[in-house]
Amino acid sequence: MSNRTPKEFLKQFGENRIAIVCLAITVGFIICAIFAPLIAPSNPYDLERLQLTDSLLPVGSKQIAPSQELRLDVNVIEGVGDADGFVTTPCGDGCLEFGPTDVNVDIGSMEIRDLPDGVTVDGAKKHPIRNWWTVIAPENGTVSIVSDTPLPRSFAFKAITETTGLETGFTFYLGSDGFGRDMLSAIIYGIRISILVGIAAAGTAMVIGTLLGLIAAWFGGAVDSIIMRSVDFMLGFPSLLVGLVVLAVLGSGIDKIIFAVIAVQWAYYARTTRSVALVELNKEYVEAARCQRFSSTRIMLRHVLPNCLPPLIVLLTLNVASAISLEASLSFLGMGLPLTEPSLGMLIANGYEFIFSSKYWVSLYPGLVLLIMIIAMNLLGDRLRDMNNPRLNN
Amino acid sequence: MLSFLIKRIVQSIFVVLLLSMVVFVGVWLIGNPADVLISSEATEADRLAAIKALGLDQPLWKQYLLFLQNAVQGDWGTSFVYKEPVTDILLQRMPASIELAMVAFFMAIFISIPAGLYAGLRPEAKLSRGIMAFSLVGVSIPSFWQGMLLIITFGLLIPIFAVGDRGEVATQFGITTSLWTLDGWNHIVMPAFSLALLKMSLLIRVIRASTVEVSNLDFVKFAYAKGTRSRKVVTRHIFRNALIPVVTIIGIELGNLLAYGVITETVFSWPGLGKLLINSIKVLDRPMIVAQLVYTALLFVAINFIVDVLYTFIDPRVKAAIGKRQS
Repeated sequence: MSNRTPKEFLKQFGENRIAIVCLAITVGFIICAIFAPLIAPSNPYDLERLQLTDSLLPVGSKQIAPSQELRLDVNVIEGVGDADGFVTTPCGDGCLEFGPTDVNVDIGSMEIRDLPDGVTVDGAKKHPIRNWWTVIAPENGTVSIVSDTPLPRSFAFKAITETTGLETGFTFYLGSDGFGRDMLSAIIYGIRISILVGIAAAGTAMVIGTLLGLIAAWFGGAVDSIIMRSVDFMLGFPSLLVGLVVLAVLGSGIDKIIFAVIAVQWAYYARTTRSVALVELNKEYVEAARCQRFSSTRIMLRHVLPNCLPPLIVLLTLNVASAISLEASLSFLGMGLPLTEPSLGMLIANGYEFIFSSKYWVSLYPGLVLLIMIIAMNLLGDRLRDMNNPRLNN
Repeated sequence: MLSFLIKRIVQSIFVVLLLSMVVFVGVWLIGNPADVLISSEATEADRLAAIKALGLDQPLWKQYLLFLQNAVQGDWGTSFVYKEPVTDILLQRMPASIELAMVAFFMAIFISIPAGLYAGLRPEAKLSRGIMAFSLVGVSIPSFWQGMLLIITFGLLIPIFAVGDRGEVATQFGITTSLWTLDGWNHIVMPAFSLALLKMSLLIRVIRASTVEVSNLDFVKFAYAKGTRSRKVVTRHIFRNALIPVVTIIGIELGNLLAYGVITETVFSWPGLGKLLINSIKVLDRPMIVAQLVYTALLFVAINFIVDVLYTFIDPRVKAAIGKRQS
């Protein structure tokens, strides 16, 4: 990689079509992460927006505003009475219609209470004990109050109307979760958190690990031994176990997750940097720098480090993917991020309880996004590694 | 050879001690268990007595030494939650975890070795490309999510396998396991496959890579040039050499299986150690957390040790290298 100009590098990279697609997907995800508030249809963190009526809606359903209840006291005198947009109109002997003045109002149900004795409501269901009459979805929102005998000249009743929910024009393209959160928005914000954790953790691990690797290579001896034995110690255990130990001690939270990933990953960078730096330290340019009596910090950071970078960048690409994966696993186990600001792993974990009631979309789509993200980054890392491998280049 | 063994044993013990120390100190940092365990209505005298009975009045290093002393004798303390000795609970849960790990392990090996060898011998074949695509997805897919997909597909949509729990257990030859019953197998297939998938995919990639590498080496070319039948070249020369790196990886992966069992057991509600560990961490059951983490580390280090030793027997080059270093 070192002998190539950036142009040649791009040209060689472009020879593999899959690599380009993966790069495009990765860049797309990063853009998605940066501009999440602009792209997402709604803000999933805004707890005030969440409505119970929106919970667990299937894919593509429209948001429906909750119905509104209106309680009216109606006084009918000589067959005429009105209250708050509702009027009574006579319809012959012993018959009185009651409905809204505006015919466009959708009435979901209307309940008439406390009618005089002997007066009933047409097509209504009576309350088993009380004198309450309910009509579900009345025609034109109007109910007929009927009586075998002529209606009293004046009487009063109560009406409780409930409007049907109106569509708000908001569509849940990927359904909604148990809290009524729009899954599409939650996924876009989840991508943001996952990528943030991945890059912050893998990046910090790279800085720490690389410095320790350089120190080990420069000083050698006891310093080298101590650093490399701790590397062996860390790499001796599965990353999930290390992550669990760290989180068991520190508790959960985004900063602790990042710390856990750093604790897992620094060792990879330290080992790689040390082995590459040891080779570089024997080269002539280092000797030349030493002859000029440059300080050891300057030689390591300005001369040796740039030559160690290619394999480290490959490692970074792969480690961002594995950091995202590790974070998702730890979040799934309930050791990770809080429920109010979910990462992709947390979203999947949330959906776990709903798969048994056939509500697959809650966990399916975040998982799919996570899978695509990790595959793209893995392939990208593989491609960079292959390009970096001199055996495959010639 | 003997000095190598002793060196490795000392190293392993040191690693376990170090980890137990880290875990012990770490868990000690979480907070004072006396606050959790002792009712807030207890009198000060009761409180002090309880703290003394639990050994919490001792300095940390003394507590740690006491813990080690007891642990070596098989006493890992008493669980705060279950009020039973930790050892009993672990022993009770262990068979479930071990049977899951074993089935997953054999599943991974018996699928990955033929698949990896095939993909390595015929890199351009359509089936090989399919195998590699499968392994790419298998490496990348988050294991808890693929477990959920398996439950949805084979547990709910096409209900072939049972979901959740371990199924019927039976005792034969003094071993109690669900593997003796059909119902047990019905329960274990899905979680075992889910657990095996990642290892399977990794192994396929490793085996393919080493097969491709070995196939291009001179001794293989020579064997072909000599006129050896290609079947013989493949079985005698390629397979044997290609499988050497697999042994190391298999060992490491067996340890990983035990660790990743945590996720699979949570997804499939498998009553094993992994699920217990997560629950213990959530309720801060300190003796359980310490015991389980140290136990897992112990197991892991022991497996690594065995693999290292096996490796020296399998690959003569390693043995030679050790001999050279010592002389």
